[in-house]
Amino acid sequence: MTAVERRHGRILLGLILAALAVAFASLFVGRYPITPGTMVRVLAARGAEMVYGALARIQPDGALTEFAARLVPAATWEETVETVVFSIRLPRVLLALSIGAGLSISGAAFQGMFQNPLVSPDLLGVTAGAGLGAAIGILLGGSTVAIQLAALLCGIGAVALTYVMSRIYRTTPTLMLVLSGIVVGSICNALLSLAKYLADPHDELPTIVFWLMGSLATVTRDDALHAIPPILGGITVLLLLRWRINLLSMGDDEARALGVNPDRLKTVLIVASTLVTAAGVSVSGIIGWVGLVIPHIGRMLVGPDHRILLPVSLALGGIYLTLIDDLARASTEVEIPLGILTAIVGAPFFAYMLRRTRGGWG
Amino acid sequence: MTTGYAAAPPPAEAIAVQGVSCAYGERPVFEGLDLCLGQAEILSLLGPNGCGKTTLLRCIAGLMPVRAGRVLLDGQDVTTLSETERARRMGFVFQEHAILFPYTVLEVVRMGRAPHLGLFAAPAARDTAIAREAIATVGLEHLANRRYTQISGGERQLALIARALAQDPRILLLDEPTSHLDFGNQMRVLETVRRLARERGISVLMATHAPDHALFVADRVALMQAGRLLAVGAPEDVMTEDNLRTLYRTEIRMLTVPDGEGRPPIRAAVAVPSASVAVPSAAAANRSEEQP
Repeated sequence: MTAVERRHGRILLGLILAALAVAFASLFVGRYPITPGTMVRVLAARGAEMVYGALARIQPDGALTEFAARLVPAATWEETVETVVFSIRLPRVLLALSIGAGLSISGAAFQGMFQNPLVSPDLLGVTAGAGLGAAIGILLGGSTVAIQLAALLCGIGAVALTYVMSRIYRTTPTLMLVLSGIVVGSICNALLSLAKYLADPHDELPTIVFWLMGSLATVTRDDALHAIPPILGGITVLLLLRWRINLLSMGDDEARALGVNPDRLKTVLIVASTLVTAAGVSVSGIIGWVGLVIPHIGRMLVGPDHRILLPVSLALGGIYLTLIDDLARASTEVEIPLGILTAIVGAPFFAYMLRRTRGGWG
Repeated sequence: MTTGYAAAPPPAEAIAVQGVSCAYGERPVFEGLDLCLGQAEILSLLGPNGCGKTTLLRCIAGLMPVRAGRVLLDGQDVTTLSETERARRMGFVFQEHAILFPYTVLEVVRMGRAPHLGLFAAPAARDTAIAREAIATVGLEHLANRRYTQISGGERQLALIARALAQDPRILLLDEPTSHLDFGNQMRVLETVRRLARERGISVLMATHAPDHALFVADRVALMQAGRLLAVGAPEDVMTEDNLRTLYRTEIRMLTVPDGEGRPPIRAAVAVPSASVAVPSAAAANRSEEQP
């Protein structure tokens, strides 16, 4: 390991610790006051209960199970505390953390494999498709879960359509992917406008508009349970293949000459990124700029090597969206939609960064 | 190299191109081409711009499909080999090369370890050591941690050769490795190529448009013109004034310069200014007449 790699390792460790600290601190944001001591005890109690529950199923009268049972402390707090922590704040913080992390790592993977630092995870139409799906779900009067499922499926469907379309012209696959993404995105946006036009302006239209602005204000425990596993699954695939993105970033011919089948690798990466983005967006609505800006900050910290850039983007994105979500719920009486904040904070920061790096992609 | 003692000696030819045809859409680049690269041999593919050198290299590397015929690597059809297997046997040094992200030289060279790594693996300490050794072989130790985008063209070309070496290949394909380099860097790259072939027994197929580069490194030369091989053989046999005149459609003299005692004389090709070149407008008129 070179000295540079050791320094990058320390940066990554610091960011992961910072992400955990930010997540923990974010549990205190909100109107209902909880002291740090109570928070630690509530979390520890739930953790011990889960360990006990698991052990009790494996070994109902083992010594370990008895030991675990003694670790579960008696509740010295009001029941409201548990409701606030486990039904409202923890799901929200975990979702912000994993959606921010997922959008950022997908963005870093896309920028590398498409050899373009200006692309974001919605390049191939996943967010446009998800928006359309959500609008259709809202128009059909679906439940929250139905709307999320519609968003997820349409997001994935849009990318699948882009992919199939690009395969028709085999000459320049990467360029065709990008162009097909633009076509599919435009079609989805046109249909979304149609959906808005047809929507009931007193009830459905505001719901669609708010969904498109992105928010975690109403997320529940179930939302977290539905969205986080696919996000983590996609992230795992991206992390496993991260060094190979370096090879793709040299262009298809060079990747092939270095022993990689670029089409196959890209397909796997696109599937994983799409799963991550679609699962996140289906719960949160559309959140822009995170997937574009965070990888650039990552590159400023650790350089372009995707082996270190992807985990660093992951941690940075988690920190960023968790903080933005704290801002959204704490700054004003009425919650500001997340998509607005990420743009207001992200866009000027991006402009500032371009000035600092003078347009280079270091 | 003592390949003769190996349990299963490799075939005499590292690469055998057999009746290969290739085309871009409807436009054929070459048809029914035959060419062999011997073990530990440097074969220079010499020809003017656009004669099909790069296309032939791309066919051999499996980067382009062939219409007819086949390419054998150590006796095996290249199309039956996976990308990984190909990359373990054969390194490709590209001519045109746009790199977006400012990787360090070490990171770029380490990419050459990809064919030896598992799908989910990243280079380990051993791969880094091999990459460093490759960097040292081409003489770039002092630049290992510099950004690849901030070194000179000649250094980049050497780094790309180092990356191909990190693949640990038996065959190197080089596409115009000296095209954008100054005189000194051209010679450094060519000397590195010659040393690799001699010391490691690597077989080298190098495309170039400069006759002097072929004379400098090649054991054999294949003269290529408009998708056909004009002549293949030892440089002193095929690089005649007649052949080069046909190849480049310009008057050329072969010079022989003594290089001190006990050393063979140096041969060089020199273009002779024709009378019409002295007057630019007449030259332009001549050229436009020559165009079919």
